Amino acid sequence: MEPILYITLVIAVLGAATFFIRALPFYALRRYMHHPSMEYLGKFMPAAIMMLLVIFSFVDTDFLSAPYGLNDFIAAAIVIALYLWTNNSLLAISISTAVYMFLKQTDYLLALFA
Amino acid sequence: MHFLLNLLHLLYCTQTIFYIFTAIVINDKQFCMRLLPHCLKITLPVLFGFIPMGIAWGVLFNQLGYPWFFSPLMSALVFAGSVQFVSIGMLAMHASIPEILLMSLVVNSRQAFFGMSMLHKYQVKGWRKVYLMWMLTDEVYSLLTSKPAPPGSKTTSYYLLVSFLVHSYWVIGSAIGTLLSQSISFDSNGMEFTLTSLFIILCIDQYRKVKANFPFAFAIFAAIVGIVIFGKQYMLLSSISLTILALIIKGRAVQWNQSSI
Repeated sequence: MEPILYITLVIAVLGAATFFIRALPFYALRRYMHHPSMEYLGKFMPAAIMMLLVIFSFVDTDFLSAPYGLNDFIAAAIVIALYLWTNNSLLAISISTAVYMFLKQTDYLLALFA
Repeated sequence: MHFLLNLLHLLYCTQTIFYIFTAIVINDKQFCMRLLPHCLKITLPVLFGFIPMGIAWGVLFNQLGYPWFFSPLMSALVFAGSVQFVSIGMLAMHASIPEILLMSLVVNSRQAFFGMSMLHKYQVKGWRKVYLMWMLTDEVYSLLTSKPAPPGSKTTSYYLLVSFLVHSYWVIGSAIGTLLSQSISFDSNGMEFTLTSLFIILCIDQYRKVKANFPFAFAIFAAIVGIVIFGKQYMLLSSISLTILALIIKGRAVQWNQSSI
């Protein structure tokens, strides 16, 4: 197949599949919209999903070798502390990310375990 | 120089698209302009998270040897980071279309659950709803469920604007990444932590909003089960399904208790 035709087809198929997956519940569950279970999910599911997204952000972190995920723990502690203290999300995110980038790029904490 | 010209062109296109989008889709340009600073502020962390991801994506996409504009085109129409990263390997092997279709359905399946809690929120008809549903990624879902529309604003316009901003960040990020990947000088290693910290903050917001521990407890339990039993490949799907199952059972129990009193 022509490369240009191939990539065009792939993009079209992937786009359609993504739309299908995301739109599915809106059509499949339309009749149950006012069902008490759906309303219950609408209230509590976002909180659970957020918790899962936080946990899975750390899935690629290597906890078994130095620095044992300490980079991530420190940056996460900074973002939690700053947000609880100042309530300023942009400040918390930028400082914690800057600390994380510094720790990761310089491997600063490796010295602790050397 | 070539890169700068392309970038300028891209920014110009983005601005034009923004005007067209606000004028036609949201159909309320004044309202959009008033809401824009607020929406930019809450979506900004996503922009900084998407730029290193876009660079990583751009480097990989460049190796396939297609013209550069297929990268932002794919990001615009697919708008699913995990699927796009997995598809690189399959594109390199010239996998068949049905195989690629199957892969995308498996990798994206967890997002089929996001709509379950948005049924009440997306109360629009027609192609505005099509756009909102299409753009329902992890980031858009997190922002829209944790940050309600500012008081006195139309919720649908707010949803559309946030979705559109996050969407355009991903398109711009992947275009910049693809164009920049040959001449990269900035070390963005670790910058992806903006998305982690945004998720942490939205998690705190959710805790303040629902004032209950059990959704978080269910999620932690389901994540452990997902990782231990189903392994890294299926942990997201399995733990999201488990969490929803647990929530439905809990909801049923609550209703049953109320009706028996």
